[in-house]
Amino acid sequence: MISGSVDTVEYRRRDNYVYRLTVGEHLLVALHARSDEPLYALTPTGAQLWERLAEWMSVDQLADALVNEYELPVDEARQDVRDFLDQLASLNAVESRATTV
Amino acid sequence: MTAIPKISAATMRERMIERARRERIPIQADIEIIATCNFKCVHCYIAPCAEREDVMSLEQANSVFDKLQAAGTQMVLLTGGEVFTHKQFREIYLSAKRHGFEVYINTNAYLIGERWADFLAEWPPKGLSISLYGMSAESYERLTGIPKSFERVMRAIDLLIERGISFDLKCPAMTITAEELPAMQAFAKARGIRFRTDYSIIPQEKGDTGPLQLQLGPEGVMALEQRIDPGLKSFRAYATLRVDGSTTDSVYKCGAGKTSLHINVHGGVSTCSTSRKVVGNLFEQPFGEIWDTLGGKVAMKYPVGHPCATCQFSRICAGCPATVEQLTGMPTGYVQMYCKMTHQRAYDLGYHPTGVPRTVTEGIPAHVVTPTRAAARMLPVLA
Repeated sequence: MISGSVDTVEYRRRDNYVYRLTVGEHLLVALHARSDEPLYALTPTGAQLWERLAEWMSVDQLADALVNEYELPVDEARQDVRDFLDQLASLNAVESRATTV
Repeated sequence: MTAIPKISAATMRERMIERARRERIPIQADIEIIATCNFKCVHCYIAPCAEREDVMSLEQANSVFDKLQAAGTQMVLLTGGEVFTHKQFREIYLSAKRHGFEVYINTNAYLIGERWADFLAEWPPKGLSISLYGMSAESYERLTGIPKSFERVMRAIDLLIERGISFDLKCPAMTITAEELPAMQAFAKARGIRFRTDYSIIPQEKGDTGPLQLQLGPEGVMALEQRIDPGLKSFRAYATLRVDGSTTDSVYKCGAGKTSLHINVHGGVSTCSTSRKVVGNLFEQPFGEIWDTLGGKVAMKYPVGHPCATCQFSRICAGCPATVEQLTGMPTGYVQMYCKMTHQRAYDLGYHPTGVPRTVTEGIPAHVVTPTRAAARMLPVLA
């Protein structure tokens, strides 16, 4: 048995949505029936985070991206990322895992 | 931060369509992935001319999807022929979805059994449109030429309803469907399904004018409209937005070639599925080059003296540039049958004093192109 403690949670987007930038809109298009809406709008910031979520990412890693891009205070960036991840989770658009060390 | 704003898909779609109109973005594309069909419908203008090889492969479809995606297309209609007879339909459909398109399907539903219905429930299309051809086995099979076609389509409809898959029904109004159209409409209404019809029949792709024998004349159209739309209530609502006394010399008043296009099985691009006149080939040319050519076509104006250029009912005309093109060879042609239908409707709505078009009393200007001799012989109103 591998022992260790939970260090952080990482997130990755699921493959049940497709992102597109078209006609000036950042779209999240649902592929499956289990979605309330066939498509959702993302803000440009949301789209940027969605692209990063192709790989497993922690809240801190995503927040760092916002800090670097928009010069936000770190705490504000973290809160924004958490809000976004909550929204994605409610759409079942993101999965998470606990990483251990 | 609200990274996913609370905005409905419908609102977002409207916003996108509005921008597509402003900037001439091809937001919608109809893609004919197969020209052959498992039905032998008497009115069809595509399948009777089709050969076995008239099929778009998955690789070709993917190349079309890539080009459309880059061009800004959001809505894709997969049509035929009959799409469910395509051996790679599942792969093509899923690829369209994975390209991020909202996918629509046209089908006769004959092949939709439990497995396809389950598949569609798992991977729902944005829209599914089923052609309906009658309300009895006898009439259905007379039109489609296929035994048990009525039974199979009715079962498909039940399977889709059971799974909560939304779809609409449509039937072309013609001599052999007119009698049962009100029953079809009632069938759809009882199930909460949208039903629509269309009054224009066009020649086959390779020129055979046989289907035109099925075209309803103006009196037939009006009699049927009064049965399916008593008092023309729905049509009045449609017309009120489009008849304001103004006229336009623009031939194309729809979105064809402005926000939408049609691609046939061989990559040929035309304004819409009714127009079979291709202006370029998407398998061989860059999208922008074809889109520019299409833009030139739909910017055309009527020649001076053309009756449609000064008609205040042109926006509610029974014909359109594509049907006129199929009957006369040119989008700027003139088909008096459509004109009579439209003026009769205008009369019934109280917009026109007599319902008789000017060309009946004054004649059609000599420089205006009218239906080809072969088409004119078949149409219920010679013009």
